[in-house]
Amino acid sequence: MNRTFISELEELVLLSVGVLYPEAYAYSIRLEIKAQIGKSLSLASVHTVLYRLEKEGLLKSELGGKSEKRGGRSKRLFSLTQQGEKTVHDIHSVRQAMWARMQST
Amino acid sequence: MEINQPPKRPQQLLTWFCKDEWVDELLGDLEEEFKDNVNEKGRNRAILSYYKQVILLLRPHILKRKERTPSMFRNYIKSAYRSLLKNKAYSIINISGLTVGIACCLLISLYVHDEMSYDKFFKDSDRIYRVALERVYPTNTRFFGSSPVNMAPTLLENYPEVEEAGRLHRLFFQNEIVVAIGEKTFIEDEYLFADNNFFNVFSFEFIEGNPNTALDAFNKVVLTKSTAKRFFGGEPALNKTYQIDTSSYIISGVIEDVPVNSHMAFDILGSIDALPFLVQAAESNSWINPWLFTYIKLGEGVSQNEFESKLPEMVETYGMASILSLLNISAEDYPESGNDFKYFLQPVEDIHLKSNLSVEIRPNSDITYVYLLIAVVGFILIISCINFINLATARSAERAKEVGVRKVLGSRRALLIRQFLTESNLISFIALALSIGLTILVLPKFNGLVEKELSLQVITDPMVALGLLAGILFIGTLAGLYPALVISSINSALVLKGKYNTSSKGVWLRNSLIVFQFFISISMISGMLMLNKQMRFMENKQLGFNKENVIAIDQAQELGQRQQAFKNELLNLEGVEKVSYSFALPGNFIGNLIVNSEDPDIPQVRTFTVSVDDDYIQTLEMEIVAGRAFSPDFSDSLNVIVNETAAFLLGYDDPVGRKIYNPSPGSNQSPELTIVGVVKDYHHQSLHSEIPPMIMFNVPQQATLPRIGIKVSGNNNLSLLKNIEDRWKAFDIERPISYGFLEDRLSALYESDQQTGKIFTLFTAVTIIMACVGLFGLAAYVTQQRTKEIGVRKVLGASIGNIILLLSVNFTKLILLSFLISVPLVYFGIGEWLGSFAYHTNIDPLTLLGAGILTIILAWLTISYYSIKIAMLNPVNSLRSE
Repeated sequence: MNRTFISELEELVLLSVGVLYPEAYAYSIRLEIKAQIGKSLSLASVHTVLYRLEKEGLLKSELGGKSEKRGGRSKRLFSLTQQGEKTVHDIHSVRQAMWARMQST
Repeated sequence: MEINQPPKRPQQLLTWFCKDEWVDELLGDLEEEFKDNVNEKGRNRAILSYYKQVILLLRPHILKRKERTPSMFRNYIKSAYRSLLKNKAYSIINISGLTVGIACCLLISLYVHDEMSYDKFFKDSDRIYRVALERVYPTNTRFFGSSPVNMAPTLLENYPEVEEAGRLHRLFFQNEIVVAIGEKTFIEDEYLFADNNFFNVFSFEFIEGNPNTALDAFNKVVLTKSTAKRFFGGEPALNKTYQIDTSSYIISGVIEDVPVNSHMAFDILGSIDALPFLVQAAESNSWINPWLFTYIKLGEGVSQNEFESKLPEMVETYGMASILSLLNISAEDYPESGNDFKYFLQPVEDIHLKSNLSVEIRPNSDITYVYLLIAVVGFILIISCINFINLATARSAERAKEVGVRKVLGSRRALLIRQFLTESNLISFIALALSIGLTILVLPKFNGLVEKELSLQVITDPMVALGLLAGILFIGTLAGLYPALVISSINSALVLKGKYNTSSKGVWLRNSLIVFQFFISISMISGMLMLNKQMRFMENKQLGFNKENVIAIDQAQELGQRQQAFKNELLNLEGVEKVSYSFALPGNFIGNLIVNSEDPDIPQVRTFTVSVDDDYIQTLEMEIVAGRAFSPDFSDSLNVIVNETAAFLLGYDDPVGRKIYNPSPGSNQSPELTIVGVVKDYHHQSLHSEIPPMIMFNVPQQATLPRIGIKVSGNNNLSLLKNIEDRWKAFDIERPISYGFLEDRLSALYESDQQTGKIFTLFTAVTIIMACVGLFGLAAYVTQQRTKEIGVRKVLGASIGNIILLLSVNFTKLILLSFLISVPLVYFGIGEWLGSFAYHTNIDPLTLLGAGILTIILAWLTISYYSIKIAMLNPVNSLRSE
């Protein structure tokens, strides 16, 4: 199994992108994470993670979705790449397999 | 303004620092969040949060890449590098010159740094002083580093300014003490004595034992760590004992070794109470004999001068009674007697460099040498900088084209200057790196030369390293600035038309720099020649006795009553001509005595005395100018031999048969001594001091004397030494024999002079080589520039000789000029130095002239390579390209 090791925060961001697609951008991701784990992350740290994941090829992005609320500025919308999707699935299956084994004891 | 408009300022901030591509989306996100926040928490908290988010965005990957000009800098380095490669000879001369210069500076700085570090490691070392004595005698004045036994307790008791006062004593007559531990014996030559307060003054670290009680009884001793290891292996030494003769001593403490950079050195400290003569002097409150060193620590804020001014009164109050009784002078007569005891303080940090008194713990260095070396460093650095400047300006013709093109292409002058400075700094940094390597390479040799253990470790100290880099930057900039200014100022139009000619530009400066450089070289060469001359002078000076082929044996008192038997054994050895016992051979410490002349008008004379047996004068081949030498045929116990100086000072024209009196303390009856002979003045001490008045006493055969002088034939010395050693062993003496040739021992008196001489010679050589290397490089360019002129001259019929002369004459003029300038400096500078020798050679014009001629010849040889090369050139080649 050949996959990139990613941190917990990266995993969270990656999952959020998957969940929020096609409306996944920095602010919505922050809101999602806050809703899920109750901890608010700074824009800077989320942006850093997104930037890194994109560089590693797990995410891709495009500009779009200008809105009045944003002062007419566009969003950078993220989506999972093939590799990103695979990574999310890999993580999931590894955890599931391990959970199964833990319950059986 | 609408309520949910985000604040302006953080937006501007973000726009300023953030990469352009991200500004828009980030601002969008922030605004969205801001609006939500305003709704949830109110405007103020929202603004606060906005600021916080923006500040948190200050992350490296978000920041704008500043468009600085590293590419320009890279271009400077690149072109500097190319220009170095293009002109390899020039680069090598420049870099190697600077490398040697910097390496010399590093070496000397290490040396100077070490010399300056003496005794600074003691706690409160700036408040510790040694009490020294200026002893005024009726006929002369002598300075002692030592003071009377009761000085320290008196000061400590009666003067609140004195925080601590401790004493240290070094045996005068005996260098070695034999220590016995069980079966093993050790010969200790760094065995000193101190009182219990010594450790209050000096912060020695105790590994074992308690400093407060370490020396509070006569049988306690303190060892240094390495001595303890030598004596007892690794075991704890505390409370162990050892024997000296029959007495037993207990080790009450072990301290860290005394650092090398201290004016004091010892392996063992005994208690001064173990020495009967000191105890006696303390009990009788004697204030006349400066027998030990008194160290005091003054309270904080007490000034040296202030306390010093109280010392005359202290002598008056506490010491005068003893002084009057011991000198046998009444209080009324004392002021006129010409005697005085003036005490002064020496800061302990200064002792190593500034104290050279009659009694020192060990020979000290001299601050003059430190100054001299600093001057030498300065000279070498200046010369390397001059080389750099000269070569660079001379090369400006070549660089002119490059500069012209650069200017045409739009380079500003400031940029050109920056480029040249980059180049010169590149050279100096390469030189720095190389010089550190060179220093590491030669440091062991240099250490051997100066007998120190210097290490380059200091430069790993960040401050020192930073200073070094700053220094190099300074040199690089200084050396590069002038050429940079000159070359960058040229008119590009002229250059590109081919009309620019540098030979006239900067000539004046170049010439004066050459003059300065050779002025330094000639001065140093003359200094070196004079130094060698003085050394030779001292080696060859008629000392008044024959130092050759004399073997000296110390510690002969071990033979006890068997001295005569041993002497007879020695005389039976083949090659032994004469054997003499004495208290001191030339160079050894001797005592002194105050004597009166028959003539009451003649003031007292303080003479040096040496006790000798009947064969002393013959063994050393001294010359008797009147009367006779001691002889077994007479009973000479009350007869003496004086030297010419003593006879003169006593006022005797015909001294033989005259009397001298020794005013012994406390009695009116002076023993009467009769002069039976006069010995020609001889140098008992080193040539630094004048021949003092001397009196020789004769010692009867039964007495034991510490030294043996053996006159040998000089053939087969090695086997003779072996035989002597065997005889010594055959006498079953525990202590190993300690002997040496008198000649070697005498030359040890001049060791520090010789050492300085060697260092000075080394650096003189470096200076002259560097000056010549610079000249070589310069000659290369100057002659190259004149290629065409030479070609024309040759066509018109000039001979090779003519041309070489023509090319040499300019440099020769300059060197002659520097010679003229250097003469007065050398005359006064060297005169001053020679003055420190009581017996010295004179500055002779021939030596100065020799230095000048030597320099000119060296310079000729240096430039001849290029002169000859160009003079031999076929004019066809040099003119064809026109």
